[in-house]
Amino acid sequence: MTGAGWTTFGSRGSGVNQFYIPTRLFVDPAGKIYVADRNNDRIVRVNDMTGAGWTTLGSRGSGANQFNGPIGIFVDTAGRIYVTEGGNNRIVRMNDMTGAGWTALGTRGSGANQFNLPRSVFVDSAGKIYVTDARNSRIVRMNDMTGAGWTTLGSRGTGIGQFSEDGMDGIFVSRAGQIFVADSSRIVRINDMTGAGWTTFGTSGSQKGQFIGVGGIFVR
Amino acid sequence: MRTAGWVVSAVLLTVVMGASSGSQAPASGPRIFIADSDSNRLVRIDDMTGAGWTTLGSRGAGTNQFFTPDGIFVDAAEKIYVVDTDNQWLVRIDEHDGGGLDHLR
Repeated sequence: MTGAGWTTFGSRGSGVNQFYIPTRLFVDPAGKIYVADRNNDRIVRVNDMTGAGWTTLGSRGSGANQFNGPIGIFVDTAGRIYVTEGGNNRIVRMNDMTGAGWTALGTRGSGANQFNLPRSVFVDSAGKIYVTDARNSRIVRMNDMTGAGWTTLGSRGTGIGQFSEDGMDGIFVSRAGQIFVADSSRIVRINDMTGAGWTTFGTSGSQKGQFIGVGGIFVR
Repeated sequence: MRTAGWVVSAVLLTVVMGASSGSQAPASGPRIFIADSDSNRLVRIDDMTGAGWTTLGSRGAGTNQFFTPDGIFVDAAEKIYVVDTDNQWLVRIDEHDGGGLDHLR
């Protein structure tokens, strides 16, 4: 592994071409890059790795066009942008980088339509929304931004169908519909939201077959 | 007799083909890319057994180095994008580069 083609973009700060503890990204079919710029409480879109077309949305808060610790970001086939916010314990969706069509779902808690540190978001080809709800040690799936079809899987623990206390992070749904989740020092794969086919890989450490604090996961 | 021989051959063929496909890397299947954040590296595996374990990165701010990488995305051209969180930048590397991730398969 040579890292050929190694290219970087960005530096620390709050200005143009700068990030402050950025977390997740999404690359749309046109190659535009969307980034959750967490500690700047904004999302950023650039056309490519030169930073051309630098566009931001957001300031700190809990209202429309505001974020508090955005972490996860996903862009669906219609170009709508989904963001998870750790500080506001909600997910928001907007039509584009103007914030038009701003829609929010979630308050802090462990019930329906509630999150406790939502980290990552994935939208499948049917439009269903998947979220890793880290401090609730569960995966949440809903049909849309109304929360309809709210379905959860998981509880805190080390057994089948259980996740770590605060370590759930990336989530990815494959074309075959299998759900992959990063969970602390392992990855978990299930066939569906019943938990069928529960399979894990990884232990804690830095050797082969080991992870420490897994973040994002991508299946391709 | 002829029918029985054909059946035996078919069974043997199935066994041989099964063994063959089992010994090959599942290049056609989806692979799993992971940001192993606190180990400051990327990991790629072929499946949930961990087959094809391949890593890139160590802690730092230079080429092939990461500092708590978090976000990861692989585009249609198989370029890998990473949010290298504590270096406060994005990284893009080539997946199919003749010497990159596929080199060590």
